[in-house]
Amino acid sequence: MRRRQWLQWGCAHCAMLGGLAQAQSEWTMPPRLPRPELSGEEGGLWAMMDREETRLRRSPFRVRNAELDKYLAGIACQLGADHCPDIRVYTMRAPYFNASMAPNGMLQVWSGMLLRLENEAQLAAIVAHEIGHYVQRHSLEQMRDAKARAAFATAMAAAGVVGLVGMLLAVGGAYAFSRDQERDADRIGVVLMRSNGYDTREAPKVWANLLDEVKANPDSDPALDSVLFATHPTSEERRDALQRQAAQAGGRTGAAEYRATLAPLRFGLLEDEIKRGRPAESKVLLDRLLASEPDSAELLYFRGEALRHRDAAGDKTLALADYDAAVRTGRPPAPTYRSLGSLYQSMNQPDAARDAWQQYLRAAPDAPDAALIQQAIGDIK
Amino acid sequence: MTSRRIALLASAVFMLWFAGCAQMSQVASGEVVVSGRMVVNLDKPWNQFEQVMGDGIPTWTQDGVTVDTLKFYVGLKNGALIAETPSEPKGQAPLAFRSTMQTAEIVTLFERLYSRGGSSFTLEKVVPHRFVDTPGFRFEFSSIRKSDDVRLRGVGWGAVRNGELFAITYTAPRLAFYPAGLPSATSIADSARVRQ
Amino acid sequence: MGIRIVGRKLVVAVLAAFIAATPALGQTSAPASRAQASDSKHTAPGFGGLVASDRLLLMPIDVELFSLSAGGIPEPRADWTAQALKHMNQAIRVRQQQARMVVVELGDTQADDHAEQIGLHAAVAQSISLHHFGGPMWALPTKVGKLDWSFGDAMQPLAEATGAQYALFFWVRDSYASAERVAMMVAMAALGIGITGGVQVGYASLVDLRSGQVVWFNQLTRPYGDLRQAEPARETIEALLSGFPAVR
Repeated sequence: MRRRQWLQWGCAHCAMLGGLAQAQSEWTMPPRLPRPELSGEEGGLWAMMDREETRLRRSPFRVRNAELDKYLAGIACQLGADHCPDIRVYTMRAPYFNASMAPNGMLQVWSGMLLRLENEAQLAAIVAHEIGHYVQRHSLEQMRDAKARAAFATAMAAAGVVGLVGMLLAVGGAYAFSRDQERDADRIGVVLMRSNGYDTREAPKVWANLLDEVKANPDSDPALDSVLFATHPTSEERRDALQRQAAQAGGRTGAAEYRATLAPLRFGLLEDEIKRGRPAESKVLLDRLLASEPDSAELLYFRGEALRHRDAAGDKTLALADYDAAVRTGRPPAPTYRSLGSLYQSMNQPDAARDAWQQYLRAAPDAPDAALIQQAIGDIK
Repeated sequence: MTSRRIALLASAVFMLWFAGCAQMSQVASGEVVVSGRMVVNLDKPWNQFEQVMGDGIPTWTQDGVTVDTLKFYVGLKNGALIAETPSEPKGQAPLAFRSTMQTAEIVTLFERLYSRGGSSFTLEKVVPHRFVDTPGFRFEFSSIRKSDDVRLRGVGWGAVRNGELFAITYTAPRLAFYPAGLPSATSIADSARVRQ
Repeated sequence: MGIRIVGRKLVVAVLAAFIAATPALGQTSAPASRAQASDSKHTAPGFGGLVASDRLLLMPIDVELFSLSAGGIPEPRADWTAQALKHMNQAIRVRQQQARMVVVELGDTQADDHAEQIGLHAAVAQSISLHHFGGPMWALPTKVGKLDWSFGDAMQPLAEATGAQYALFFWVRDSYASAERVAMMVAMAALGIGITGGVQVGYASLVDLRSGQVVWFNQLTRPYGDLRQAEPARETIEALLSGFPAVR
């Protein structure tokens, strides 16, 4: 999809805006969805999704953190109401913004998305949106079309991609939800957020934040490049529409609970993000995260990494500033010193490099590259 | 013609075409010259992929294409790629070796190679290590292969000699195969020297 | 690692190699009359055979059915696959009752706990299929034509968890020509061009869980078979198990 076409697509949400405020009170959660007969077409699809779910469950790419699993399941259960028993949540390690829900109740969330959300309300916005697709049976409507089914399953067989959403990526637009369906899911998402006490003003922020990241790379095509966005194409229009809906303030954001749950995992998620090799986008993300946590040594270190890898004019100096700030917090991650050493070396300051590396070895004597750094120190004479 | 006959015909055609092209050859134990410049000593025979694993990177195996892989990077010059750049997804940065690279950067190059397609890569260890009679490095890593979720372990030996990269990497599933193959791979790496 | 060649591309390569290499299409690779315990193609060297007191662990069947579009692209058919699983499991149950060994099935939770071993077997089996049964083109010279693959002690946790000495794996990929495809075939035949109408590939693999040795392996490649129906599905199971080691 070309960028402009893709952005225009989002205008569907403008039209929805007007009807939303009235429509809210008219919508009620449909009853639980029955499991189809195995022998039919739908039954076969269900069986296929069950097999995919088994694969996800066993996959080494699945993030297995008891606290996180419980937290996500609790939110999905609360938002899903009567559908709670039918919903199972899986977190997969993939550094992209994505979530999807299969017609059999399997909800998949990617680690890159968890990294980008700022609080529980934003998470609820995503989960509620997916539940909207699920209870309205949008995926099933899509899958009734034979071509879509074939494309769906072909993508599932494609090498190098795990999970339902990956399949959707491979298939591209062929499988995208229609505008009506997205509008429907957005509407339901807001209703569910509100009725569960969440601050609905957080929903548009999700898309606004993503847009900022995309703009960091001006020649990237967000629709194609949007391994970042996958099934959630975003747009100014959509963000604006959702912003207008959040008429009243109020409702909880749950920032503290969200951060606390994610804290033990975040270092690894940030590592994965840097490994994506898109430092301009990583920097935008880290700028935003640092805005709410300016003293986070972890965030300062990783923004330094993004700058060091981007290596545009002036980036070395900016990276140095971030690493120094991390050190000043008193609890910098050990690799901060290693990166300082590399930076000083590239800036022809061997003494500073040696000092930094010696601090690295003191902080992490058992680091994987300790011997290498020791040698690097020895080479500076 | 029935569909069955058609299938047989098609298969006969295939068979004749393929008949002459052996894809695997044996590398006998003893002294072997790889890519004309790296001399190694084999403690046992290995199998070499003839064409398929191309890239100009000689690739050997004991148990097959989906199991273990021993690769040789012989005299890669500045700008040479350690692997072909795939056409999909678009816009991937080529994995080019630069003569100015430090050890950490070369290891990062291999990290990017093994991370292709969404596979994971975790560096377990990297140490200075003499390779092809040159101060170089040895690194160990874990990787989860995205296509089939298999957990791999890997090891690499490398050195930059007169601006050229010489390296050997060995990967295999962490269960059973890596420990079984590591001694032979190590003896090959330890024996490696460069013939000018 | 040749990451780009594993996965789907490998399945296609494997399919092509099978079609090329199977010496007599229309037969299974090991007609029952020929296969013996000492048949080195299908049996590991030194394998002494099974005894009635051995316990056999039946692993979850890995099967996928495809429809071949007019253009020859295989499109997975979930409903057909569901039927195939039902029929194959039924056929195996019947065989189980006839067998002289105790057969246990691997439960879902147990499969979760041993996912790595199961995944490893699948990867190794692909290599056995390609390099041992894929014809002279792909043969690994160091194997000197023998079925010589082992998981070492990696399978022992399965033995401990289930009390079984051997595990039996099934893997099948089967494609069927859609009506459009058949029409295409007829049209092409008129032009003197033969195109395939679908192919059934699969393997049955028997692993000694204690030693890790793949003790018996049977490869199947043929242009017919219909796993969507009960009787032909039973026949496919029979074909896969053709030459299965005798139980003393």
